[in-house]
Amino acid sequence: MAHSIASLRVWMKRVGALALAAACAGCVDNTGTVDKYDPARMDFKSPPAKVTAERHTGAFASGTALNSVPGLKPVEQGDVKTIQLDTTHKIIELAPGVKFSAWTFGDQVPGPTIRARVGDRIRFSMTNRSDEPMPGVQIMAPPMMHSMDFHAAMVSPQDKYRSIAPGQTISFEFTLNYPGMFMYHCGTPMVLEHIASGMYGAVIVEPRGGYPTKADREYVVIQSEFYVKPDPEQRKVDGQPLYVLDGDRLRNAMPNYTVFNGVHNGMVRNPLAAKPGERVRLFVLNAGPSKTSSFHVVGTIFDRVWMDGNPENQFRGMQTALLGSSSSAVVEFLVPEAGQYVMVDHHFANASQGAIGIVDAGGPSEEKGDIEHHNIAATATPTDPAAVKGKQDFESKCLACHSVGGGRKLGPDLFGVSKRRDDKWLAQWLKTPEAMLKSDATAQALLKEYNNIPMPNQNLSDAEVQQYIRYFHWIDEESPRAHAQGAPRAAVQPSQPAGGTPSAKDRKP
Amino acid sequence: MRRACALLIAFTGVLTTTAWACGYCIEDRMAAVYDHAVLTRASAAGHKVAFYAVLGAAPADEAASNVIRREVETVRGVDRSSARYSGDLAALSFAFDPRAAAWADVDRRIGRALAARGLTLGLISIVDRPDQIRAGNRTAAR
Repeated sequence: MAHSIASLRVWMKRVGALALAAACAGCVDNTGTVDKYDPARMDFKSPPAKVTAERHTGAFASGTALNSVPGLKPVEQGDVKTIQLDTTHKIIELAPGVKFSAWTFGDQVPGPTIRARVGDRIRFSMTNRSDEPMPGVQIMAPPMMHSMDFHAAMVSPQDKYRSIAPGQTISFEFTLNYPGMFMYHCGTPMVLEHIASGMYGAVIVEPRGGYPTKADREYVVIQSEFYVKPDPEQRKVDGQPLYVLDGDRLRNAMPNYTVFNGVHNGMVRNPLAAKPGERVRLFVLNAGPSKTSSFHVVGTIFDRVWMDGNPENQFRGMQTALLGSSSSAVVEFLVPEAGQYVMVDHHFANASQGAIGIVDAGGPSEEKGDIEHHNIAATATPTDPAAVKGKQDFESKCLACHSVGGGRKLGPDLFGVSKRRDDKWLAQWLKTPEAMLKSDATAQALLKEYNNIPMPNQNLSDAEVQQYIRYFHWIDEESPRAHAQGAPRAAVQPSQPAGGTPSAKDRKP
Repeated sequence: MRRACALLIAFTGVLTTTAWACGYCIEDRMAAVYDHAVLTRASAAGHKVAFYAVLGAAPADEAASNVIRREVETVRGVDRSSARYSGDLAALSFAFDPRAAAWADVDRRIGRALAARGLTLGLISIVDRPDQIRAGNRTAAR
């Protein structure tokens, strides 16, 4: 009898082992490791998308898994996440005084962040409400077709990502198979225009068992570029000029704003909070549409970087995370001491266009004054197209050596330059500085004063020279900086050293 | 009858010779030539809007695009200033008055005009209102 029972046990063990082996068949690689990405364990079932003429009404976004601010909620319980994100057309304030005609998911730019877990089912619906008038808004982009492309999904794009017309609603569902931080965006042609107009956001998919570390703070940071120009029809919103998409800049990948979370310097004005000793986890997505980000936090080192947000793609001790368009990373770092830790795109041309933010871990408030040394003012933009072009050229070519009201750098502070020099002199100087240095006493004095570093010849056309001069006139006569002269400063202005108002000596050249 | 047969044969030819290779959804082609104002005006007037895929080496330059639009709008029944053409997405749309001309006639005339350029048309959809947008024949655009 005892022998029989022992035999039965052995038999059951063998059956159990066989059953386990059978269950794992296909999910064990040739090293004997279980493959958690075995397709056999994934769910690819997704019924056909439904398109109806029934509109959503009321809120433009709904779902408990949505996060509409940088600070992230923990992932919601329950393995089904119902998400509604409708498309709208609205005016956003891209930078102070820059009212931009945007297209959105969920009526915000970026769209709300969806947070879920591997294995969760996403039940998504979207009404194209681009034809709905917005309260208090008189100007809107014309209604158009839109769509939703989830990089987190594995579905037929022809079925799920189809474009729908204003008034239509599309619904579909899918299961999240891979952990990561994934972009979502409108995929309707021209995709470039839809993303650059604000139609992008992120889906954060946690591993089934959560992350391997415990973070004290979690934030989402989405970088993107904007390509804008003053409205050719010169329309205004709340008394300020309207800006619209600049197709030429877009196609040539020449943004005039590169921003975090949809606003120039937005997280400088509203820093992300942290405390010394805490572990901060940033979910960083570069939505593009066309530029690369070299994401860096000044003053710390990334303890861990999980490329595309998957902890299995791990780097340790990183200074930057290099993110191509639609790439992401989860970066974690310790806050070593009190201070303001500056988030930048270390492609500093991008940072200078607004890709900057702060993780504020306390410390003396005076230090905050220098935070914006990485970029330039976006407090206003001229409306004269020639001056606008001059401003854009100035910001891309001249800021390395000159400031506007920020004091002397390699070259003079150009605030007031149109009052110190006449247009003829400026035009000659910009066009042929080397010739001026031979014959003009003022030019020679400048060279001597600035350590014999000559003004380079930028091979400017006559039209470009005139654009610069128009911009200089705008600075000196119409800009808020000009109007603020003589008034007490409430705060240090962008591009200006912490020392405050530039001295008369600084401005003299 | 003969005309209908020819149309059917031509259309079947489109269906069988095109492939899912371009990577764009058919609705995306519609989106490229979708103009809400045209559709709204057509809807109010009791007209219809037709969406087509353009098959062949569709020109993308502005001059050729303008010529194609003008040629389409000269066809009887087509609403003036309603033609939209995208060379990049190889798509065409226009509004027409079904009381002024039967769609088959409009279709044939436009097809003939574009045939001179080596282009053929694959009908995607004809709609009365924006919320009716549907890819009636998904394969036709490929």
